[in-house]
Amino acid sequence: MKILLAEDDTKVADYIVAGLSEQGHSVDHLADGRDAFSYCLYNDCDLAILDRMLPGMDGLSVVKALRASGNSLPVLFLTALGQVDDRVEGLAAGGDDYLTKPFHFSELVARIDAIVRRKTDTKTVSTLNVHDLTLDLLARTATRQGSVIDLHNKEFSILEILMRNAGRVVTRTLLLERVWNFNFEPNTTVVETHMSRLRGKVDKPFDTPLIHTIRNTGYSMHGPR
Amino acid sequence: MDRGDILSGAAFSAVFRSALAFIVMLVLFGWVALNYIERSLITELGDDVQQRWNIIAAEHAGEGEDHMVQAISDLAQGGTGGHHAAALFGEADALVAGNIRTRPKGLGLQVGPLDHAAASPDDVTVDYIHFTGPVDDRTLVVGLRLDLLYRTKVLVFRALTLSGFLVVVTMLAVGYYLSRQSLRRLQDIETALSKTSEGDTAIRIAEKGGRTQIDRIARQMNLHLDRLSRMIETTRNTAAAAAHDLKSPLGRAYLSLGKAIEQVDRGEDPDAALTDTQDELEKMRVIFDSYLQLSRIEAAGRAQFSARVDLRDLTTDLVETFAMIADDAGQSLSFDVQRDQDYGISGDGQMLQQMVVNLLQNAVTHGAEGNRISVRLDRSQAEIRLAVTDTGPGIPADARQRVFEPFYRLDPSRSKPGSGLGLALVQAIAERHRGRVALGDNEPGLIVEVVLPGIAG
Repeated sequence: MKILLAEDDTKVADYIVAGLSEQGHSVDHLADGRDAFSYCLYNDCDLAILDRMLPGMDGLSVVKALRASGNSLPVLFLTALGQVDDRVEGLAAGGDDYLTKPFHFSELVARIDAIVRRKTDTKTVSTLNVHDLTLDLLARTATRQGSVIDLHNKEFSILEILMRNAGRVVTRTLLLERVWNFNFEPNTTVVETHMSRLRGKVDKPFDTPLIHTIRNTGYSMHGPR
Repeated sequence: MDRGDILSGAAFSAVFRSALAFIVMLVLFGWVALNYIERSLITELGDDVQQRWNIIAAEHAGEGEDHMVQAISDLAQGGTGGHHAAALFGEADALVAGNIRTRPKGLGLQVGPLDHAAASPDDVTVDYIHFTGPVDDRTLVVGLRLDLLYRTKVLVFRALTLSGFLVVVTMLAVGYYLSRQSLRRLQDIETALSKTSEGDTAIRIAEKGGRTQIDRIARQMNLHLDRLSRMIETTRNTAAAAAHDLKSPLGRAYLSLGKAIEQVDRGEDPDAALTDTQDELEKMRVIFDSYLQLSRIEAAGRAQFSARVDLRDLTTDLVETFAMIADDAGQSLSFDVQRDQDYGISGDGQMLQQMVVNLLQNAVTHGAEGNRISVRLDRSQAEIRLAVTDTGPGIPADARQRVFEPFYRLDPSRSKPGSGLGLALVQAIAERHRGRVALGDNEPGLIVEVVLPGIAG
């Protein structure tokens, strides 16, 4: 995938470029907002990662200008401004997601995956499968090895996100955002508590664990490898 | 105290201007009064002179010329220093008898100098009031020196000048005193303010308990200084506590990173040490984020919110989530909501969500196993009340105000998790929504009550 990174902090930029290249992406890096805007207009790329505060032209203006010119390039904002208002502003301007510095690299990867899939994967599914676990999105039931698992609302939402991202890392922050709609750091064990209950229902009665903890980052769901 | 400052003071300059006005008035009225006195005295003396003339003329008519001459001599010699003047002139204005050497020109009552035989004692030409008239073929002149008039005028003039001078001096002295007094108070205020700006928060303006404008201003300023010093105090505490709270995880991160480096050097697996480092950095991030958010909310002012947030839906959802957390901690969480009420408020859903999360999280974190947490939502008229009650350790009454300060912790060892910003955020969010937070005693345990204005209807 071809990615544009507009970031004026060289250290952060080098780190992201190296990480994403390692993941097999081709990354172009620019440090100026105006350069980033013209790059997006005249080059083909799959995703732009924009810092909010850039010299020349700030990230928000770049996206506004892009959208005004009819460009629908997926955009991920990367910023030290992490308040709810900024987030709302960024998304309203036409950004697809918003990630606050400092962040874990896996969080960035997860967000990029989510954005790109949202753009390409438009077909709706009614069931999700991971190994021997099936989630029926219409009937809102989970079954594993033929037995029905009784789930709370939140547990169902967590499982759905994990299964939609099967094989990929789902970060704690992403779960807080998608399941609880928390756009702040709640300083609680909400995710951990629900995850341990969910595991008690989904994994414990069976021999093969499907939910795996990625230390300090989040969770990943996959069958035995 | 600088004299120039006192003389330019409001009290002194007001008095100074009044004194000038007083002097002008005094000169004006004095002049009028003197003129009046002069005129009435001259009229009176004129009557007197005329009467004397009539009497002497009557002597002539009744007793003959010798008698008249005698009366003239009596009159001329009577009195002292030529106070009286009388003379009889014959043909060709020759003096027949009396003490006037030359016959004055003209007839009738006149005011002017007379050629008196006795020079005036102080050698000053003095005016007389005199009456000249014919008696048969002679001319009789009777006059009276106008000393009384002049003496009266001098007396009145002196009295006016002296009293005017005394009044003006007194006024200026009083003005100077008042000006000095107020300047002293103003200097007190100035000193207090400059000391405050240098960081002395304990200084206050001495209050005299009076009712002057300066006393009122002094009281107002002291109240203001009270608030200011509380604020400075809080900010100082906050900065110190923030530094402390950030330094601890930073120190631990250093240590575990050092450990990881050693492990790498020794060819061991640094994984655990690196994870510890990351954990500590994460804690710092949380503190920074919360603190930034707090400052944002506090700085945002009280702009109107356009969105309607249903507090019942919001609380129900969060209670459901936290019931599990409480359950895991061996605690219970119950929710009680008064039905048939509207729990809509204009606000920011995200902020309110965070407020309720902080309240619930606090109750779970500070309570031990067996803690019973109950959440209650009700509405009376325009006010929506959200009360979170627990049976945990509670907060002592004397610390209930301080726990709202950022980074304030009841537990100085900071062994409980948390940034110390939870209640500060709750208060900031409540106030941002024109609400308030109060802490109470559940005996044992804590009651946190948030009151928010509901949407009418």
